[in-house]
Amino acid sequence: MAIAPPCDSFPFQHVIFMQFLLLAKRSLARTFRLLILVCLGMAVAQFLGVGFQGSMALGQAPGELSDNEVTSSIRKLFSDRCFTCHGPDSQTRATELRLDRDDGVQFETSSGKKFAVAGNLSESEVWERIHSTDPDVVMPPPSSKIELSSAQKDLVRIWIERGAVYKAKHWSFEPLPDDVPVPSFSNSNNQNSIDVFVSDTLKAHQLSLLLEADRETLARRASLALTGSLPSIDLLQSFVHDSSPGAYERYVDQLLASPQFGERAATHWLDLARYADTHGYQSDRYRDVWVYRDWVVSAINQDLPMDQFITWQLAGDMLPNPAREQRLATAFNRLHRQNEEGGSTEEEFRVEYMTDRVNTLGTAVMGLTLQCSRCHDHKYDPLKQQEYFQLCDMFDNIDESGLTSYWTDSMPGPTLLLLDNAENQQVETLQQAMQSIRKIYEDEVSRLKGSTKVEEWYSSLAEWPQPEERWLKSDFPMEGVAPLTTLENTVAKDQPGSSEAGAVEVVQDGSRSAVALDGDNALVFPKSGVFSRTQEFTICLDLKIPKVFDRAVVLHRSKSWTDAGSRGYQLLIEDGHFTFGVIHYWPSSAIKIRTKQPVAIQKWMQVALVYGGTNSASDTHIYIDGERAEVEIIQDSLHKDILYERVDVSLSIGARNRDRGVPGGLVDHLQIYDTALTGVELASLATDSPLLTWGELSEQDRMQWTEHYARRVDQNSKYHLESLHHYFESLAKIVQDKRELMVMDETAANHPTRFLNRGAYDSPGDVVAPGVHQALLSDGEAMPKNRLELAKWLTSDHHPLTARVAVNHMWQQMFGRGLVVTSEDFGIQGQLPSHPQLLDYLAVELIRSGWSRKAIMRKIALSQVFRQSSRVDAERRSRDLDGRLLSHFPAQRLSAEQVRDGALQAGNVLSQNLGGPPAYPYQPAGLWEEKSGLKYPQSKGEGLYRRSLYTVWKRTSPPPSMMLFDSAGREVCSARRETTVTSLQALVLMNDPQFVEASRGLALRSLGIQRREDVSESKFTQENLQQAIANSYLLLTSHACPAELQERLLRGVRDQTAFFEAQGDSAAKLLGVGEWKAIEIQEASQQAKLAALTLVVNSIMNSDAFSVMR
Amino acid sequence: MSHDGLSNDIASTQRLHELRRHFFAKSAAGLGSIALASMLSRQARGEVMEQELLKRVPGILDQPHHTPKAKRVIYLFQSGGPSQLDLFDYKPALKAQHGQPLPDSVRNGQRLTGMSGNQAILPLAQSTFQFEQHGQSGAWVSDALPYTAKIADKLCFIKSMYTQAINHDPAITFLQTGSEMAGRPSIGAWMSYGLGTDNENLPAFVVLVTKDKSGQPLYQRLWGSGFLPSRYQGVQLRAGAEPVLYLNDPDGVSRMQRRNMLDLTGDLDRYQQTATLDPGIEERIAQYEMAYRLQSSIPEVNNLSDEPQHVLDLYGEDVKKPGSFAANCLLARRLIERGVRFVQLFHQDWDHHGGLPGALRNECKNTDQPSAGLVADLAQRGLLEDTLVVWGGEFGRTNYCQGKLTATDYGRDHHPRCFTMWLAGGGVKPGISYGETDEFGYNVTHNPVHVHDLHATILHLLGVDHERLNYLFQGRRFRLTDVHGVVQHQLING
Repeated sequence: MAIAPPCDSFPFQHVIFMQFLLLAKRSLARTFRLLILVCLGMAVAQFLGVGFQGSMALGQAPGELSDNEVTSSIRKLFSDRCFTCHGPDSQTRATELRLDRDDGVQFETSSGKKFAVAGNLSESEVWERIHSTDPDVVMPPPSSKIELSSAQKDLVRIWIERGAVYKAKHWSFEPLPDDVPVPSFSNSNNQNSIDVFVSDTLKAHQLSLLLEADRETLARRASLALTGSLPSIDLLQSFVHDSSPGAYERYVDQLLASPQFGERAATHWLDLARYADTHGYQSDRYRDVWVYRDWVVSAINQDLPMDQFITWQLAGDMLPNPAREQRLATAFNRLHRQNEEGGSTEEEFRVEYMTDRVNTLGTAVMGLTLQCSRCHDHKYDPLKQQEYFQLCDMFDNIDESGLTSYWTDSMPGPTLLLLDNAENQQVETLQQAMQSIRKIYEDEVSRLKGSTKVEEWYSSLAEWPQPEERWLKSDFPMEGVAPLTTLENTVAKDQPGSSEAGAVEVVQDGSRSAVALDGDNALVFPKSGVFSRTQEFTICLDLKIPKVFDRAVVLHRSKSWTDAGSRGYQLLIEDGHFTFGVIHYWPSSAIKIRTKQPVAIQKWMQVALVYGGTNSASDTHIYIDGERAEVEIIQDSLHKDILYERVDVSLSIGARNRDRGVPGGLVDHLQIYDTALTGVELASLATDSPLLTWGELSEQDRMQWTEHYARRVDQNSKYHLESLHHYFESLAKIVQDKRELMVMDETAANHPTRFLNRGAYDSPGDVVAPGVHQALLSDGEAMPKNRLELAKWLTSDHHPLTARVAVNHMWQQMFGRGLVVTSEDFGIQGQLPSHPQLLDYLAVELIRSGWSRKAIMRKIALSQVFRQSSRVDAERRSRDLDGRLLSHFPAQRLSAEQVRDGALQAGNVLSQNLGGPPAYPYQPAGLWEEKSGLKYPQSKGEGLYRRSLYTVWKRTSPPPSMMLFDSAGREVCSARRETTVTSLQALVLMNDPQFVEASRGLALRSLGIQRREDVSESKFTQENLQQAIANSYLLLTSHACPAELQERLLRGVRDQTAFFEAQGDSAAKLLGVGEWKAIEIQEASQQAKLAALTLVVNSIMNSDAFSVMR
Repeated sequence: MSHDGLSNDIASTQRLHELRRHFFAKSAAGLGSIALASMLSRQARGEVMEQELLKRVPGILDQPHHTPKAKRVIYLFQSGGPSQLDLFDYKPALKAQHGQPLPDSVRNGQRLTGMSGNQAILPLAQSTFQFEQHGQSGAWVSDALPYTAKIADKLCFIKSMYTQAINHDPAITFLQTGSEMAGRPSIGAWMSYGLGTDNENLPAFVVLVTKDKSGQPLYQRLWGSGFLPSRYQGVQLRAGAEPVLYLNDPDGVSRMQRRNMLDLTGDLDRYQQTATLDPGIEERIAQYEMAYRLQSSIPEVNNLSDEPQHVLDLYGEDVKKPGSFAANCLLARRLIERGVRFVQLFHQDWDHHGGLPGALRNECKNTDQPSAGLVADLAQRGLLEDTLVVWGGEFGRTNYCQGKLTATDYGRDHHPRCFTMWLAGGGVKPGISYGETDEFGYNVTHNPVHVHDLHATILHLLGVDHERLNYLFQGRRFRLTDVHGVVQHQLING
């Protein structure tokens, strides 16, 4: 075979450049008009919407369509052109005419005509309307800017003439059948069922399957499709030379068993799951979720049945006694972007998260554009807005915040602590120990209460017990004469307080001198009140509240409002009541209690916050004037610490950054103790009541004294309390620095979800009940009410969508395109399946196989349809233009992952490790910095060579070389990628250091230089170079280098060698690209040859033979 | 992206271009004659179809929907939200009521951000900048922008812009893509998709970001292609040794060697083409040649050494600093001169929640002279006539002070309900101020212009009907203006 002439004589003016110039030059367009016309002719039928329902009627005009095809086509035409005003959306429906219902065509219009009358054009209103020249009458109306082509009008004519049969129900809403019979087909001897379905279709077009591709091509294709990797040379050779029966089956089974099978399929699932390593808004910080990614890979490798694969991810937390992995899988629902922007309305984004979950479920699992029905009823599919929010309700029932924590590194709750087995064991043991000790202590207190010990001790008291002096860590009397710039701390002189306003405003209130609050400037007490959740503390403050507040921050030790996850502790007034919170991340990890009595106003009181240091709401109290306030527990789920890791915070009174303070409030005397003061001790501070006799005490007082006795006097109970602290400290220590994963954790309390008018968070309507779309429920099927029931329903045997959508994704993985091309949309506006029977057959088979992904992938891989050649002549190409009929295997450009991983693999630098934290491969400097000021921490060593699946994904600055190769952006769920060919891709493969380095690696490998010791002059002989070229070609393309190309490639090496030899140290420079320096060549002539070979290898890497899968 | 055979303009148009590419490539490869005979029988139907399609091509436009007034756009995006109250929207009432709380009747219960929304009081803050009227048109411009003031008669101020988002990420995403949600194409991507470029050796849509700025982050999506094919995404031209990512040949490789290597790759591909019969391979070869030419056309446009001193002077001192806003303005002019359709500059750090007087003056110093210089330069070259220049941020700023109000210092929070942008050239009426806000500069009182309206107007100026430039995705025709947008004809000349 001859090689084409060199490029300088090649007519480049005759090609078009799609990267920047979509349109061909006009002159060019004229030159090739003829060809356009030809191809348009072929495509007419497809434009008409007639090429589906198995007929794929290329070349068929509407008149040539079968009756069934006319019925499908007309429904599709009406959907696209008419449903906006005559479809399912009740808000925009113009008249009673509804073309989304079977009887729509019987509709009688005001003129008395029916919409359509079988066989009678002049009696059919639709016929008149689409031809009218009156702008008030013609349909579609001019204002819609939608028109009908003459071919479409022709379709309407034919439809009416053929009887105006109308069937509104869409194929994908029909339940999956029990069984799909395989058609009988004469040549079906050694074909699998897939081949029979496809051949049957091809036969109708006078086509048949092509012969099997050559072994090398097949080996490469199967390996790339199933594992994303090139076949190793050993694997390739053993398959190519294995002429025994079943060789290909064995080869496929090896691929299915390879860990790369899971990596490849996971890549697509991660596109659907909008998986990324950052939160996605603003500075777009790191999020630690890679354990979910690794779970996906391993679940696929273990062939976790897909019904469970889906169920675990949707509702693993709701399974009975969920295993760690089942809970971990629910991270799927939390991978949406999360906002950190200060000042955002928390509810706005909480609603965004909830809807993102539903939208993702729609695209990934159901193949429906559910998001369209957030703001109104769906325009095309029978999906109501009401039902959208019913589905939302199921995904709304977790303790989450609409904001990530800007000021801390916490993962947004709810989370799963990532502990290893031993740690898990320890934690469980400690939790149990704490539980029993707490019980023992409480029993001890009860026992004391019934005994006479307390009374005896009480009666012996000479005076009221006071807090010990050593417990008092800070004491701010808040006295002084204006102008006062600091507030004296009588206990720790070097830790005074101050006001953010500059001067402290001291006022006289009756007999009392106090400090006035303006609501915006806090009193701050740095270094006071620094307590972790394992420490007891008591904070007493005298205060006077001027009026009823909806919300007011009284006292806190925290950084900011919810954008800190509310971490720290705080005394707030909310809806007129005191709340005391001890918080790691609100609301998922926190203790919060609220007083039952409203806050007294315009009255001095002493408020004391007592935290028992044992992580329990039952041991957390508010005292007012020495009396324990009755409270309700709002939250009791604290599981990590309340201190900050990387910012300074101060105990503050009266205001908080971005929050509402206490304007007009007065405060006095702040005391901070590092113990949980007892009611008795607090009473001593608040009042100066005398000691009564035991007999005079109320039941409640006796209880207080008993508790005091247990806590301060009784050795036994003191010991138990100490043990409780001890266990808790051990527990806290174990979990403190442990990573957390965002997961779903259904709350017991049911959060009401409201219908949102126009989908807007600030326009709520009525509370909705959980449920799914009526149109998808079969007769008599129970309505799912929560995520677990939803998952069960989705994976039931006859669900119309789940299995169909799942096998379509598998098909897409193997052929680059699904049987339903619009894999994200199985609705009425989506494309119809090219082979509907085959799709249903595979869906049924998936269920029959026990939802085994591997079983279906194997079946597809073994089919003749997959194995056939991609080499197709123009005649056949013209009859099956884009290969939708499957009359040949469609060639595809390698994906971003396949290109990079393949190059690294051939270059012998690819790391074979599985899983782990994200890697930071080469990236042009400065991209992260210029967007958000963060530096890209490029990996050293192995991290540069991990498979692309592990490349860190920063949503607002994704890896540029992968984006240029059409990776999904991972901001939202994505069901398929583009495949473009652009000049910027050429620049990546030629100039990106990772490809230059891989080329050098492959050059060395091909020369037989694997170690430093291998370097010798004999490696650079002409013969060896020739062999190296052949090796490189084989390693990159899985094919032996054709004899015709050998000489051309060798000439390339000679030319480039001459260039390098003539240009001083240029060879050394090229060889110095990249970090990998394991083998260095010193000799100049060897350097020139190696550099030349590197460029030639890179040429092969840039050619179709490497970058396209055939 | 291949679409269903819906009888659908968009799908058809998208498909038409796929086919064209396919067949041009094939013919260029000399394979066009193969099996032509078998296809010719369908020619007649094809003719009819092509006429149908070309008559109404709302997708990739062979020609504009109407005669365009602008051929290209330079969009000077001021990220963070510059304060209209300190630059353009002069409000004496704020002076009179300085320090007084924002009246409830003005705020009217509208939402504030969580940053200032909880303040005990929202004190009105007068501007510390001096305002004067400028030019024949008498446009109000503050002394923070002396150069802009001088060209006031060339500018069209829209003082009644408003948006719906109140925080940066949603707001800037909305201004750039017409949606607060991620995943939609940016305005430049839409233009690239609709109109292409006049220079096949440069991208249709180029992005320039001022170097070494901090402030509100930027995101790839702001110039991304969303659901449009990735080739429509903005190509960033960066200051420094490698202006386009991966543009430079590796160390040690000369241009001659690159040429030699491309010839080899081309030969490998032509061999493969013969072996596989795949006409698509011609496309690959073409793209590699394109890449080769890009490697020289980018450095050419990037090299400012042939710019005379009097031109450099227009843009100010900073123009010599690569990556500065000034240098980017000049670069923008060079790009559009060479046929680039849409150039967008991003300049960060207008988010002045506190310390506004000093910080705002600083950003003005960086951007005022270059912005005005660009307009003047375009005008003197006769390019302003058909080049639209747009200046503005993602929202405005509040008339009340965020944080502490002192005699000399204040901050302003985000304010979506009104802000000012200016347009110049490209068929826009020069020397007008359009729209009005109330005496407090809080609400729009006359001629409101929504972000969708701005988008519709920009597209209109380029000859594009915003309702007809759309793309079928997920079963729906998407467009830049969603289902909204009204062309603001009052802003347009003649």
